[in-house]
Amino acid sequence: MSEVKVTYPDAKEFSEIINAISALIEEASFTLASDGLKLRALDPSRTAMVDLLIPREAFEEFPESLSEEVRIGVNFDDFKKLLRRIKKGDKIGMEVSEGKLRVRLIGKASRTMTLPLIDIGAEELPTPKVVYTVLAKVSSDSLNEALKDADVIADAVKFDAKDDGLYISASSDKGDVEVKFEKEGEVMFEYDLKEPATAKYSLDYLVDTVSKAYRISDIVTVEFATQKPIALTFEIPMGGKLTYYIAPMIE
Amino acid sequence: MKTVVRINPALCIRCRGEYNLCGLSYCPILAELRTKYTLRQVKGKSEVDGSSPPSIFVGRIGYPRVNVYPATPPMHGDTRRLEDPRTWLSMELEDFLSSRLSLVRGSVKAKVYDAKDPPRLLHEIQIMALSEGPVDSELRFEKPVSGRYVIDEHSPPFGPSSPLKELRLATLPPPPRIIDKVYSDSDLNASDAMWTLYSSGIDVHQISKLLSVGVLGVIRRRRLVPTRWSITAVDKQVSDKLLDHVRDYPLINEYRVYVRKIRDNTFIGILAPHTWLYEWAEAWWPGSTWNLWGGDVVIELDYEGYWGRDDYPSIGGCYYAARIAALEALSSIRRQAAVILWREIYPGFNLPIGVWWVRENVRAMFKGPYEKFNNIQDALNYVSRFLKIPISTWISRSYVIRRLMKQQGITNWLGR
Repeated sequence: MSEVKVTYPDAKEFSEIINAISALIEEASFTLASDGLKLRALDPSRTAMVDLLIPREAFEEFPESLSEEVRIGVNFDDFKKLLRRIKKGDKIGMEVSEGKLRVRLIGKASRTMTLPLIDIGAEELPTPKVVYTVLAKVSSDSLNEALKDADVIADAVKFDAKDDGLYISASSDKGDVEVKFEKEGEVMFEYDLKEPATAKYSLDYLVDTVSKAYRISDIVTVEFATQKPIALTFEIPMGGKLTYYIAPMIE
Repeated sequence: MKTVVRINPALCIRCRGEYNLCGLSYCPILAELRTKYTLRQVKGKSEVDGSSPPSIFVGRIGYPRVNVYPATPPMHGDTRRLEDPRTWLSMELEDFLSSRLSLVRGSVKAKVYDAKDPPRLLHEIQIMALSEGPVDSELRFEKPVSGRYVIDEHSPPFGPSSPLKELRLATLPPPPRIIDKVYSDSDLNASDAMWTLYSSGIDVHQISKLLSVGVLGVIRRRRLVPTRWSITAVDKQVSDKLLDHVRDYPLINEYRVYVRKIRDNTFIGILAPHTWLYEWAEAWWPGSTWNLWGGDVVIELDYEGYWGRDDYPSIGGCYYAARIAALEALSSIRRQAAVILWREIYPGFNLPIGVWWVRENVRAMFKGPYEKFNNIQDALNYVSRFLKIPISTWISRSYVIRRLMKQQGITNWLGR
């Protein structure tokens, strides 16, 4: 296979995306397709899924045509170590050839490092089939803070969508916490309630993912329904997105 | 000692004599214990001559200027059992205590950074620690031995001390080859050094001793580490490495229940067919070590999910001592599981003797027999027979059980 080459204009942003994915998985395969760079994977306990799309338009350099999809299997711990070398203002180039991923950090000087590609069994995953009854666009920073508050108290958190807004609450013998995202409030940018909903999710998953992904985007789209998975979507420039799906806990 | 002070037992359980959370300038729990065990045969001596296992204690008071204490019992022969936690487990607690308290310590002041380029005396102490032992030692003191014993939540006990005037060592048995190798390797970082030693069969107890005297790690970063910190550091680092491997193993096929009852302690281990989750919980009865004045049983629990935890568990060193024992058990069968570990401590057990007690008991428990079950409910029904706290209370506190019983899989919505 001939070599394939892409360049992303903001290495820092790219590494934050990688960091956010690594909240759920240790290794996974990216797919380079004609419409962009994608990744879809389940966490090891199959409780959550991560779904990434960076469209070709977001890249500075992208193959004109791809005769077939290219799979890029990486270990995220190793990938992250390499991305720690990023300096402000760097671009990042990636080149796949002969079982290796060559990563080029392009700044004042250009540095090239390589990672071995790993072979990961291809698992074709659909996205979860859920009819969401709530859609809320909120400040990702505020959501992160709300979850961290809840994490002090409990290991799970309840999402309640009511007419007047979205409530996030937790309780245990250590105490109670409730955070309200008011409809038309300062940190709520859009609120579409088809019917009231309530569901409980593990903070393990919520805190790990949101505490990393909130750096990608100021706004997060929260979608859920009663006793159904929650979808948290962080937008990436040029129409890309990173979505986490997390299964609920039974009340 | 009679006391009329009422101290919130939750404070003592979190403090364990370390932080004076109760507000007194001494720990009344430890004070009472210390007066109980006097050591007539060594008190007042100004020199001790004996075979050191070898034993060395590093204090934490005054950090980074600490006291280092080489120690020996006043007897010759093969004393290595004094540093062998596996042997301690089969001893009566009283015998264990009195033998450990016979380790007379000579104190030497040192800066922790001295470890990389030690003055002569500290160098000799390091060489002593590296030796396979026993090491014939003569300790001469500035003044007759008195001072405090070490009775501690993390460290095993040590005897009384006096400032060291002179340390004389006879010809030392050389260190085991692997220990000499990591000691001589000035580029090997401490974490890799620990793992190298562990994989070569050196027990964590000995590794923590080596870490504490500052003979492991990249040479310019070597330093003395107070004994109690070194114990938990080794339990944590080694168990993190074990976990890296365990995460790659397939799940066990069934629920397994392990039970160990020993000296007013009940240990329960449940392995569940799920990716790694872990919890360690302790229930202290009124009258037990860290709940002397309480009226109720106090449960403390800490846990971690698949990715482990970044912050120090409030429950302290026992969390990691039990964690390494659990991960050793999973490593040995090359399987992954969610691990529940519960311990009930009844009133008769009121001695802090060190985290080795937890590590060795959990190790012994996982080496023993277990019962198999097909579901968590049956496993819990079985477990309830051995516990004094109602199983419903345990279940309501348990993080792992909540995850096992309540957490759904995302695959339920993938339409297959």
